[in-house]
Amino acid sequence: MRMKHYSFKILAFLLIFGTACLLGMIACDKKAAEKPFKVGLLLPGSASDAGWNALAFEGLKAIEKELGAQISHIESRTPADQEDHFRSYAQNGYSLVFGHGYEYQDPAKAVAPDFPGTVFVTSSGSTILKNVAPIVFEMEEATYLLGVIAGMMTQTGKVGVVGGTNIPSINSTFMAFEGGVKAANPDAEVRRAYVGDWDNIGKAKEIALAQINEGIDFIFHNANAAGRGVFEAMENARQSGKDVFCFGSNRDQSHVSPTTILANAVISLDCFVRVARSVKDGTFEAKTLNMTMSNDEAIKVVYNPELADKIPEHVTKKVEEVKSQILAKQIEVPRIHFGVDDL
Amino acid sequence: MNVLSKFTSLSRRQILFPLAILLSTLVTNGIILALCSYNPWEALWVAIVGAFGNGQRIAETLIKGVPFLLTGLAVAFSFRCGIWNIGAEGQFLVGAIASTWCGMQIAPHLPAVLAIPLTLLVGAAAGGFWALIAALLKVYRGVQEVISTIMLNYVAIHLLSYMVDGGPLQEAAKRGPQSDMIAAASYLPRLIPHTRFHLGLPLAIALAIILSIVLFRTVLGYQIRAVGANPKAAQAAGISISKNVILALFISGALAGLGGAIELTALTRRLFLNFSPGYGYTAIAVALLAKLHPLWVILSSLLFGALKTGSDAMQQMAGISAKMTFVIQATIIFFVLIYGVSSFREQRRKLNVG
Amino acid sequence: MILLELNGITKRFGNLAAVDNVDFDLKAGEIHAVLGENGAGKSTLMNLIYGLRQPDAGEIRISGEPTQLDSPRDAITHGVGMVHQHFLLIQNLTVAENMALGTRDRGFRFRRDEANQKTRELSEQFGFAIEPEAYIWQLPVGLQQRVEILKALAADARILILDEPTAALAPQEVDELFSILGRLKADGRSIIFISHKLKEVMTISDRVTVMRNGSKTYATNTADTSTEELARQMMGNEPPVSQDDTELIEEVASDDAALNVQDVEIRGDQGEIAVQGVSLEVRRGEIVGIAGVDGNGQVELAEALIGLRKVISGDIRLFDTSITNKTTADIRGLGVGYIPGDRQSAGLVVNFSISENLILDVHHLREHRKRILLDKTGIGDDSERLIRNYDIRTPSMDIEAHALSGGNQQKIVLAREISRNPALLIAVNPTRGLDINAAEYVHNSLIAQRQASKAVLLISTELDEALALSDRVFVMSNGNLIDATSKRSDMTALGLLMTGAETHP
Repeated sequence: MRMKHYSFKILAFLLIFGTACLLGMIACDKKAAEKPFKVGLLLPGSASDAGWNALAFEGLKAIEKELGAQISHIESRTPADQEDHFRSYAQNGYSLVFGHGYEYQDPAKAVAPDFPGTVFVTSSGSTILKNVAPIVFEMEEATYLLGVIAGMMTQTGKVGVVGGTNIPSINSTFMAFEGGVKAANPDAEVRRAYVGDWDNIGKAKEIALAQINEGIDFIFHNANAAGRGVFEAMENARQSGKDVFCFGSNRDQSHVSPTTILANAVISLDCFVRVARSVKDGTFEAKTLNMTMSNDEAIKVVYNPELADKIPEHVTKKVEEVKSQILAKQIEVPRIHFGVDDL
Repeated sequence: MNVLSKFTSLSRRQILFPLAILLSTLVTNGIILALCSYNPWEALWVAIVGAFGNGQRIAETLIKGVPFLLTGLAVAFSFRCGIWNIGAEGQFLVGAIASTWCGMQIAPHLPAVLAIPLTLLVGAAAGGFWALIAALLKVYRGVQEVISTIMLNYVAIHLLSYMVDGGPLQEAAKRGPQSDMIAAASYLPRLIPHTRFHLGLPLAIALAIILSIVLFRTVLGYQIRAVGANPKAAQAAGISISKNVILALFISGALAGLGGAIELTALTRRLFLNFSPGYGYTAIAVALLAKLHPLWVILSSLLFGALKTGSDAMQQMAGISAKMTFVIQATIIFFVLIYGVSSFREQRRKLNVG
Repeated sequence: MILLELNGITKRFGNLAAVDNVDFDLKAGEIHAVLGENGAGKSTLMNLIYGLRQPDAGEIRISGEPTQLDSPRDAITHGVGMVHQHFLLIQNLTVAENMALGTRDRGFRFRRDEANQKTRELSEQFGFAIEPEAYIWQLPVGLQQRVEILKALAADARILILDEPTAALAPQEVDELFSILGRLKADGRSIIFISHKLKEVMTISDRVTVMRNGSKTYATNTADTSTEELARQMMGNEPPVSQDDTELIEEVASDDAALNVQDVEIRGDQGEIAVQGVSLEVRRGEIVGIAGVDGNGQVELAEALIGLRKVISGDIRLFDTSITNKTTADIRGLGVGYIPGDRQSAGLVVNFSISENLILDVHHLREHRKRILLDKTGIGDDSERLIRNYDIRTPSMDIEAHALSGGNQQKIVLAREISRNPALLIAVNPTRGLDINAAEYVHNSLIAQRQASKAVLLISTELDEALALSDRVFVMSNGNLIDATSKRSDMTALGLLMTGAETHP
């Protein structure tokens, strides 16, 4: 009695499942036809985070605009899914797929051999295969310049940095920032703090408020979406009459908090377009794709136009001077020197 | 023969009701998509292709169901004993943590035949012991398991983030919040080339079958169901409530822990910060949809697997935003649960009259 | 004047007509009893009048107007009130607060003084003697019932439905209830009195309607009928066996004490001392009855005997083995059977099939297993046998227990407990809620145990039952056990003992 009942339901399920498979396969066959230049992007977070993820998403849109590519992106947060997402793009004829984080190396490595016609690029990392390469954004020169601004302008002699998690690639930017601060103001003190993840805006805000209460008047964040917490804390402090400022990172974030961000260390969207162009032209070479300030200003400092009057002229002049010294290799920016295996 | 006669003897309501549910699901989602200026037809098409488009897509759908299957079994088993184990998420993570440790420290010295089962068992045991904390608190201190298991989820999440972010399991290079790869000897084999279809699915299905035998054919299962259905009567008949609560929660936790171990050894092969996107919570819907029957959990977890691959495809191929795909998934689950609940009621009603 | 009139009312559930073409009327200022076995359709009929269900055919007229009752709220607006068998009171609220919950127009703020005042006035008007600020849990059952009645009166009910109102009451409390009903009647209110107790119906009602299998079989003025006639109408053609046949049974008690309880003290659920130093002996071949109003420690005593509750002090022995604070499984293993007071909540797993329920206590034993699996065939054969031997009326042993009637459910419990042939059988309210035939069956089963030289401890709130079946009778009151064997013919004295008015024999 009971058995019959089950076998019926299972049969019904198998029928539905089978029909779905069949439908799917027919649908799959129908697709094919012409071959446009297609570029995909795997994001570790939301494209609307106004930071790390938004940067890559804007880069992708720049590729669409400048190269006429067909683009697509997916939020690929769970490690177990990333390999599948790479594979789906490759199977659907994408020529280039970005994995926007070091964590995309394993899945890229797993999928790449099956799809020699597709290039997989991870944001930072060290994995290099025939069709896998990391794009490495070296922010240090730009953050050094931000450090110079903070060092020259701080009134309390205390400056803070807020990171997402305590990892070398973030710490390297902090070292450079500290170097800039000390170069401009040897007595200044720099405090580091970490949120513990990249999304917790509330916690970032608490950390920033605590720093402000300790007398810190400049904060540089490198915490992706959580960075908003720093901006909120800054806005609160400014409203209560404190003369404090902060900096944006990765992307020009000036519009996110126009009253508190003096300047940003910015990755130019051109970084993504350059990689895509090389793939499209067939000139792509699998090697570490370094993006630095000296590399055609792939990385640069962008001032917030709204607060241009807050920065004294001697400061901007000094920044220009230090920048030309860096480009001329007269100044060595302190940083972590990653070996090939470390990235 | 019997199956066919069942088909022909289906009442009108039995045919029309599921169709109505299917139709309202499609129409509702169609309207939502259209309102957000997406093309509903394309979305539907892409989702079907993404979930079932070819052998590789079907394999993905199947293996994405595996973590839902194991955590769903965990939830169903404990609910059968009247224990509201909301902690499958934590047990899943602790299982993954423990088997990472085993895969890194012990597996390198063993052949695969030993390394694989050992790594899985360590994960299962860790999940079981994690759940045991809640069981002991309930039995000896009267702590509501709903609360303790939820709390233990947070502990597990933070334990994971400590482990891979500065803790003992972080990779040697200390670049990011992840562990090193586990030893190759402990990799759960993938069975079909160029897909990720792995041994975990047959294993989990076998477990579901074993569990349904345990639940409905053995003394242990009988006691667990009796305690779940009416603890007072079970106790009056001499069945120990404490013993069964402890056992049920341990087994439940072990299933979820095994889920974490399988996900780790078959797919990611290293531990990450965002190891679970909330399998343990979704598992509650998986189990309820399956009416807490282990065999139905197989089917309902496959549905959730298909929802996942389908919605990934909607993002990748139709440009539908991630948030929108969550809305669609939630709508589908909502309608399917309506169907599940009302057909359950129907069954009840028949029994009462007959 | 006719206050309520039902014409050709029918209510079907599937193919079963629970109420079949019933006519009924209720005059102003009368008490109209509705009599019938369980499942005769009384409750369904009352649910139709109270708006909980809607009839499939027929018409309801209230004060001559055809009325559609879609919900209890509708019924209340039309002046119908109902006191359910299980009270719908919130234990942690006071009387006045419970009253306020039932009123229609509650504002945002709870005006405690006003509510207390209103409750007090109403209580005094009908001589209810209820303190508005008392918490429900502090009140004995009889007073809780009055609160329920008061709630209906507060909503200005002209028609009051009382569902088995005497089930949980002691004799004195029944008398008090009846005098309250008399006062309400004098006030011009009408009462529908549902019962299956013939004597009470004869005492209190003006008219009687008898129902059987969903149909009205008999209606008369109470004055024109007799207990015997009512019983015949209720049962069909089989008259109930008189309960006075204990005299016929030969004395079989031996001197062997099967159960020996010495000075036990037991705590209740709230940590209070529920049983205070009770001693008791049950010999082989005798039924010992413990009568008493609910909540005087009997249930706690029974639970301690079967190992569900710890004893603080004292000793319990089964023959020569101490079973004090042993586990239930151990005590059952030594030959103790237990019929819990509430079969739905403690006797059965209602979502389990009949055959699953029949092995609740022995499923783990080797004879029911094949290695690690339960022996389905063996269990099935045993179930078939028990279903046959204990006359459990069911189409199949795979039906879930909740689908059966109360009587058949109780037979499952009996079959399970008695078929183990226990040296001592503890039965708590074994006939509560059962109709006459089913109760008779239970009684005969207990007597058969006695005849087989087994010991039976019968704990019952039904004084009649305890008196009729027991060789020796005790009354339990406030946690004390009083030997009442010598007073078994003196109902007044027993009633006083049961209500705790007199604590020493």
